[in-house]
Amino acid sequence: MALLQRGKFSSWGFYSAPGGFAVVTQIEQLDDGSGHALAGNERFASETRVASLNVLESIFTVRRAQGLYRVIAFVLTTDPRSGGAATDPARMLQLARRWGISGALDLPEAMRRQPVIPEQRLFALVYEFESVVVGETRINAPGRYPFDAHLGDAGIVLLP
Amino acid sequence: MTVRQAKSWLSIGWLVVILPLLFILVLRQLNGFYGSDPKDVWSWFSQFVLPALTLLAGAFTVSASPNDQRPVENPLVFWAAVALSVVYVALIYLVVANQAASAQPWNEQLKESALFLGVIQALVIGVLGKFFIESSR
Repeated sequence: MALLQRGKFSSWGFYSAPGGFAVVTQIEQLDDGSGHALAGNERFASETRVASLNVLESIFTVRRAQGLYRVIAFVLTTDPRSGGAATDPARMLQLARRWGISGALDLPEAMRRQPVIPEQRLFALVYEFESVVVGETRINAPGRYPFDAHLGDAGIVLLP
Repeated sequence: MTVRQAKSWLSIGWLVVILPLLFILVLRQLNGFYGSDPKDVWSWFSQFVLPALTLLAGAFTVSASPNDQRPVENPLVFWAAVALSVVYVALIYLVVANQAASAQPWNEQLKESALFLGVIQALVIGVLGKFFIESSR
């Protein structure tokens, strides 16, 4: 949790995983050009801003507004099986918007006392979504930006 | 203002404001704004822009006559045509602007805009037609 607090995450959710648990961060919105998290409150705004007060700007807009999103999941598990490719990226993004705010706030006391065992592996997964407003949603696999860049940008430092 | 000048103002005015719209729609299509099936937007353009343009182009070329050098006999009809054209074109641009600023699907917006554009277009074409026919007498 201290790791996520350093990354200035305001919310995350704990979920049960086979032989362990998972922590999923609140969805972040990234700058489409640089891949960096947006500044201020826009970082955690789950919807792309589409409304423009400037009529002229709207008239000359020739591309649909597009959002680039990131969710980071840390999974401690004894069963590192892949869930397979997502068949409905739009639905998955819809779910991902709730992952960070719907999970448990903390680990149950009993689980907190358990030591990490050698059979458990820690995985850090980065989900990168691209969603065009009133258009297609994609899960970027591989992502447009490298794994290390995502973690670094999120302010998460993993010790070896 | 002579009849010829009035006709020119109307025709050139329409052409000048509609050309950017055409480029914007083409650019939007090329950038995937309208997805993989943009035919609805071009049906809308054909339905709400081309009739007035073809009327102006046709009337301007066919009705050229010696009367063109006379002053406009009924300026009220001319200014009504100008005012209605301005309102109509502004509404068309508002529909185009709203497509970019709204989360509502663009084809739904086009369908809804047809309700009010159809009414105003009838008025615009009627007044433009009246002006050109009266001018050619």
